[in-house]
Amino acid sequence: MVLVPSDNWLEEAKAGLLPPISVYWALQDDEQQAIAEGRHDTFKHDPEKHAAQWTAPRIGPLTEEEAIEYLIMKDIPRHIWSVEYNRPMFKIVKTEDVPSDRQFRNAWRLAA
Amino acid sequence: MAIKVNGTTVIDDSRALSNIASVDATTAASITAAGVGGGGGAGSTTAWVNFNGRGTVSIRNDGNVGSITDVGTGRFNVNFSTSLASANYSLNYTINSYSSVNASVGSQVEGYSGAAGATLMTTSAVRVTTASASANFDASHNLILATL
Repeated sequence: MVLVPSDNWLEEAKAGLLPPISVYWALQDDEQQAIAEGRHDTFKHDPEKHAAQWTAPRIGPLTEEEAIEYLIMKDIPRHIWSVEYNRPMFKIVKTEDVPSDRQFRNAWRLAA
Repeated sequence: MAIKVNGTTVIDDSRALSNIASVDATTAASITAAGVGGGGGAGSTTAWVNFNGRGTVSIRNDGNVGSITDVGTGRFNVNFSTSLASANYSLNYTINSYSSVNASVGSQVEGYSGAAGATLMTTSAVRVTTASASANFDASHNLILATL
């Protein structure tokens, strides 16, 4: 699994335009609950929580690495990065360091 | 988008909405419902992306898409920058033709389920798949538009 950021999003992160990550988590939690309860077909976000994506105070400019960490916490399921495993589950690298050949990439193992 | 009050432009960019202390949640929600923004700004109701799925994924351009997750051959998660208000949005997904499987390619939303259980079409992301009759494959031009 490889996560690649949008340049546009990265610019917003560096410019300090992002809300606290908890804003997204609150939305994800609400939706996951709706899925679990079988009412996702009619699901709509609470307007106030949804609007917080724009009304919450901004967290300020991030470095590129901080932005990627933020993106991981936002876009990768929490059980992947929030639990301490006995081996690394992901690694932040430059795009050019990712094997472009999928066969090589699938053979990757993260060293401890 | 410029917003004018008494003929005077007070906001030149809808993204500046968050900087206005007097905008309360109700107002912001109204703006969201009105669809101001559209490309990643405040109240965005759309998300779109043009990306290359071959080799290492690369995003050519996007609006309201924060990242792409490559989860396997021909399988990608498109992660929105800001969540859409509802999970019932429309999705257009088109890929370029691919010579060796040109006659039978398909592009689709993966794992959509209207019933209880996992769905991969949520307000924050959607999983898309490109497949031929025999197997998934990576397309060089993936064009996606989610509209609410």
